[in-house]
Amino acid sequence: MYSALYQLLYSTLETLLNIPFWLFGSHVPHWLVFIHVSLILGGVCMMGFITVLALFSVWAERKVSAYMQARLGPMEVGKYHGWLQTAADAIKLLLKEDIVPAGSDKFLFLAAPVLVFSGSMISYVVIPFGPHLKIADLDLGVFYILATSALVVVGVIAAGWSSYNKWSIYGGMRAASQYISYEIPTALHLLPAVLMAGSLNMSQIADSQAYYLGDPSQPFYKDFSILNWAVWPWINPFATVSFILYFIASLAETQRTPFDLAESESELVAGSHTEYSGIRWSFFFLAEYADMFVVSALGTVLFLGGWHGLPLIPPVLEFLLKALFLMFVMMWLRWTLPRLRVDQLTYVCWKVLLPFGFVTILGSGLWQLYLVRTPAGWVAGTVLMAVLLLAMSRIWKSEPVPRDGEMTAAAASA
Amino acid sequence: MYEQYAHVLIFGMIATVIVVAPIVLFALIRPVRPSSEKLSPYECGERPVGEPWVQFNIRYYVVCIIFIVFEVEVLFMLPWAVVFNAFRDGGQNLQAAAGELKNLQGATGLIVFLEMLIFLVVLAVGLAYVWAKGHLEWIRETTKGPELLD
Repeated sequence: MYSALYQLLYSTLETLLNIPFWLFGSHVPHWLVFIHVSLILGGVCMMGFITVLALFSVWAERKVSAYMQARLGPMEVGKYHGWLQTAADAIKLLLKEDIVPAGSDKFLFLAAPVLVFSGSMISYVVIPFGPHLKIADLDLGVFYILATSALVVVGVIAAGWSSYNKWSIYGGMRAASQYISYEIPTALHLLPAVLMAGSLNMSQIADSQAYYLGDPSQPFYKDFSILNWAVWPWINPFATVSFILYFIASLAETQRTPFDLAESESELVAGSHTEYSGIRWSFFFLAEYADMFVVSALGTVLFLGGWHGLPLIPPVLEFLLKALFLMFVMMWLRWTLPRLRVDQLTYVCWKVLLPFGFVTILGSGLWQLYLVRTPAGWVAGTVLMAVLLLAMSRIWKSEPVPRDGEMTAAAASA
Repeated sequence: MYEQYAHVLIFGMIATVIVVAPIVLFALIRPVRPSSEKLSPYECGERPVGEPWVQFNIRYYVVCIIFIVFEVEVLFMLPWAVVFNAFRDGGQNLQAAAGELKNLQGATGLIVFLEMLIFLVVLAVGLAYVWAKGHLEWIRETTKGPELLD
């Protein structure tokens, strides 16, 4: 059944790609093919995807939050569980007044939301959604995403500075400190996966985790490589640790709870976008969700095998399932963990994630030299991870050490 | 290969256009009714006091400098991670790698690993120094009183 679907999709894409050849015969100008391919595949499909994704993840976030707090959340618009709520919100925001506060730096104020949203959009260029579904096949894919994620920071700082508002400027400065702290652990904890794949190309990294059963030269082969993902401890236990720490660092990169200090409502109103209204405000909002998908997709490609692994599921769907699951975990954490203090933020980054980054890189290097994909490695990795998990569960269960002037629960009840 | 960057450029332009278009188009039907109250900076409903663009302690000046050091370090580690696999079997696979790397065929994986170990140890010493100096603390001891400066 799926193969028929693929063939339909494939032939549709092929038809679209052939339009310039029909128009110009065999003398197609080279530049036209470029622009044509990018426009049709990249521009329209991807923009539509990002917008729909962002709108529906806002709705999903509201529903997830509601169910975690035993509420219903939006239920009215669109009849079925309020699924059109954010679309209605978007129309409302498009029609709202666009306020530019007096005294603000007008150019920067107007440019900042564009920089933030298009900055997070161009990260999507290198994300491979399936075997052939990507806009640009950059050999520097991972590096490209790390570089473009810095564009968002520029936008946020510009918004904070130009708003002529105390909350905004504090929020922008906090965002800056957070971004510059957490960019390093994010990159460091991606390195073990890069090292195991031996490439920065996103598709090659995903393919390096594939394990074929059958003929991989078939256009839509299915592989059964779920046990071969970089994240599993029997492949490389240091990569497992790296994946968890990468996920923590990426929470801070996308300003999600427990690292949402830059827009903590109870302290800074709305952080750097306090003064924004209407459509410009919604771009900040949508960019946050677009960014969440980018970091989830990066984690999926580098550690969870990209579109490889689960049998009987089409590659694109499989990739989306994994990435959306990571996004769900982000929403889940929002209602599980309290916000960190600003000093704890720098503590976690520089004194926990960074030293652990050194350890995981050296460890996975040694593992890659001697133990990766050997029987000894499978056993050693599994045992090592089991011991680590046991030790951690012991630490969690143990009574916290009271600080000065603090009472334990037992002492308080006595 | 480099033509792929043309796709990136075109996509970036489309992304900018698609973000700017609704802002410009809907300006035609959006209401515009500014008033001095509406345009004043938001300070929880109070009249704003003083300038927002004031000097304040951003607290992470040194952290910024350390950030640059470590960011460049990550930059050096990326190529190492990419070629590391090629050295695993004593450089046997380097035939497929780029030309300059062929000169390194004698190097084994362990040597390449030890090089990164030395690099990281140097950086770890730097981190330990900064840590011990207290530059990674958000709350630092305030400046010493005048009696201590004498």
